[in-house]
Amino acid sequence: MFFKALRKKGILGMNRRVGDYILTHNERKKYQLVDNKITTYELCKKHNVSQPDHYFHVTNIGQIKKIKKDLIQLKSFCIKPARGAMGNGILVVNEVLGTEEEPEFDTSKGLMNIKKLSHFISDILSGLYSLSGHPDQVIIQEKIILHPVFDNYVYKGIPDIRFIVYKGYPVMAMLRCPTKKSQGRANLHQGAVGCGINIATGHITNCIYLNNSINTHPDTGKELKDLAIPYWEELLVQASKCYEMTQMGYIGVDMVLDKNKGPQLLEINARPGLSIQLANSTGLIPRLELINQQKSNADLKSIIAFCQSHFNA
Amino acid sequence: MSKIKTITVISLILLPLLLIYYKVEIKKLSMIPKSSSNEWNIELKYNIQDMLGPTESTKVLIPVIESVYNQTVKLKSIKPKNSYKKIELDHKSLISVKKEIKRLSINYQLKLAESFYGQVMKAPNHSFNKKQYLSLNDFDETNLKSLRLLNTKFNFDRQSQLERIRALYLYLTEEFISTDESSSIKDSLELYEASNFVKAQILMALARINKIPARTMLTYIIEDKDNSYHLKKSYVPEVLINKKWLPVNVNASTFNRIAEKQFIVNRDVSTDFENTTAKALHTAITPVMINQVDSQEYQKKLSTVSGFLSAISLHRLSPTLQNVFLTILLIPIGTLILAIGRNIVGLKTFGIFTPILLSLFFLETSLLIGLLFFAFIVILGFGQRYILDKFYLLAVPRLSILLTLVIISYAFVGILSTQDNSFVYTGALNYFPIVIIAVFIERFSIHFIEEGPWNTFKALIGTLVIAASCYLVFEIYDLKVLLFNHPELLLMVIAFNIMIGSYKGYRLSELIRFKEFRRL
Repeated sequence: MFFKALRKKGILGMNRRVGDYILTHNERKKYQLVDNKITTYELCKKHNVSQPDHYFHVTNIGQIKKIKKDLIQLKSFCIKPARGAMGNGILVVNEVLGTEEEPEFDTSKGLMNIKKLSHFISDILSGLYSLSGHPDQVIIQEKIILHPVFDNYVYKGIPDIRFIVYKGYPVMAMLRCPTKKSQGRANLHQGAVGCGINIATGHITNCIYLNNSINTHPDTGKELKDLAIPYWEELLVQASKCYEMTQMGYIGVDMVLDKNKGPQLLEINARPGLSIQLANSTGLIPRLELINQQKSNADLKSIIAFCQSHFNA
Repeated sequence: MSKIKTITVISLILLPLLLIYYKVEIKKLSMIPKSSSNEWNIELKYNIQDMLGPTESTKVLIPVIESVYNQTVKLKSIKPKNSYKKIELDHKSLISVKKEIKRLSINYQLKLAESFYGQVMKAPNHSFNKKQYLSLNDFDETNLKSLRLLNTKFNFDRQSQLERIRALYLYLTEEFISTDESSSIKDSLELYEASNFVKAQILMALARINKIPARTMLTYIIEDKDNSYHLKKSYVPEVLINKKWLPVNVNASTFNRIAEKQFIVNRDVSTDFENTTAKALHTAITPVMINQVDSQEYQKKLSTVSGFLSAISLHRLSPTLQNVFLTILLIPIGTLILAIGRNIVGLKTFGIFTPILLSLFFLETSLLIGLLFFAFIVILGFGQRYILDKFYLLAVPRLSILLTLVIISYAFVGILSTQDNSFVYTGALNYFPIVIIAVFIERFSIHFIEEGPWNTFKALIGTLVIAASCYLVFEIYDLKVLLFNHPELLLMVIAFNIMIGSYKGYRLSELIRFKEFRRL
């Protein structure tokens, strides 16, 4: 009665997502493959899925004092919790300033001295940002360089492309552009812009910002629908490969475009959110049901071709 | 739903229903046995022909039981119909019956106050002739002589009326042995043993000799023997001091009050009454319970019905443990509310079971103090972020500091409770609430760091809504007793949870989340 409109549009709700897709297609024991980014990184290497390089990992508090030298040499890098969620606990270091004795770091959270930075790392280690509050590891990762096509589409930070990959088929995609409000983070409920993408072409179709439809970027005023994402087919292929890699049937794959290295896998999410439907202004259920009717042993090429011909909107 | 799931759900619902049907409908056990609320059906049967009326009269007058002291009485029915007439005499209800009627049966519903001190009802003062209650005409000379002699031994010259009555009461309760056989007052005084009625008569007579108006009431004490109830007749003298009637319960050894489970049938009986009407009455009284028994009672009944049911009944537990289980059995109901709140309404909460723990915290402390303390904890939780952030502390010591601050404030609440007129109920201060708060504050802080203030606020509201709903449901006393009495109902909770767990429809909150689609 109340839900008639939602049902008609084929909107996937929270309960159905868990009951029909996550519980039935994602085996519990495989979660660790995607929940820990270090495991995912090693898996990617095996399957030839490109990822930003990991410089090194910090696994215990004692290590923090020793890494000062290594950090100074890196010039720019990114600090991440291995088991973090929703972009929490990520710190981007754009430049290392100051002297070797007293270095200062120009970060996404302002200028930091080594004491502040060490505190941040030890917070991650003690599990402050991890999914379940357990002790965590820290990844010191290569910093992504913004691809010029996104100039003026972001306020700060890097936009990412979220794919919902169902049984290897990229069924829906959205571009998430950080804004001033989201403080550089690409999370819709933190105030990033969500743009629906035409699977066939990589063109932006529809955009939302804080649950409202928009046409221009709220900070830069740039027309969003003018944007077409480069390396589109390669992005689709990389996203599709993640199914083969994890053997999880229903996943969210987050990709980024690096200026020099092209499509890179950022992370895989075993419980992808539902806002992608809002960004695309369409429901997931019809697309997912269409995939259910397909043979399960299709090759990569025909999968991409199928998606491009059927999800052309 | 799959076949197995459907069968499981149906059997989990049917099983407890059948068991309860068996207990309630077939074995006639009560659905919700409440703690004894002292309600009784009473039937008084009078053999009219054995009763004494004025010789020339063709009628007998029977007084209607009044609502007096700790008893509330409702006249339910009089049988046979059309054989009596109700009359009011001296502001007192009486039933007038023709002598040719053989038997009259009067049914009352009686409610005795739980605690006599709690609800003392004023004895209605009928208009009366004071002389009537000072007259010694009923007593013959030999008896009076002994009574007067006894009275002189008390040296009552300077004592007040109340002091005199108190001295007489103590004398009669301490010095005299109760017997079943009735002998004369003189004999009783010499032997220091008296029947129930004579004891009352002695006090009444001595009061009258001291110029204190007095009378004797006929009462019954409800006695519990071998799973059935009996009535024991007991007489209570009543004296008028400072214009107030005062029961002097010489037979039940309670001064100035009617005993527990004792009720008054007639407030003015004579020696003749004892010899005639009371005898016409005593065989025919049966109290009936009104579907309300206490735990002990229920367990007794259960054991006569089924050894197995009685063996697995929670009523076997000690009263302390029973109290614990009364609350514990509610927790699954709370989880059901939680499941509905999260999966059907779509509320966000801290952790999974925090809202239920919180509602237990409210139960333990009372809602007002619970909410106040809770609000304080939340402010502390928000505040610590801004203050402790500057110290760059590791997560665990930081949470430890937070908990220490909570303990300090808890101690402060304790100190508050010692003040006069404090609104803090000291019973609330024990380990249990602090355990709950410790769990809560951990969840809260992690949520705050992980999801930011706005999401924390949303989860806070969700947690509070579910905790408050649970609290309101937990406060329904009948539900507690129902679950305690039929714990098999918890199987139904499992069935409902399977149903909610299989619900794949939309959540109510998704109407708001996807409102864009509803507009299209």
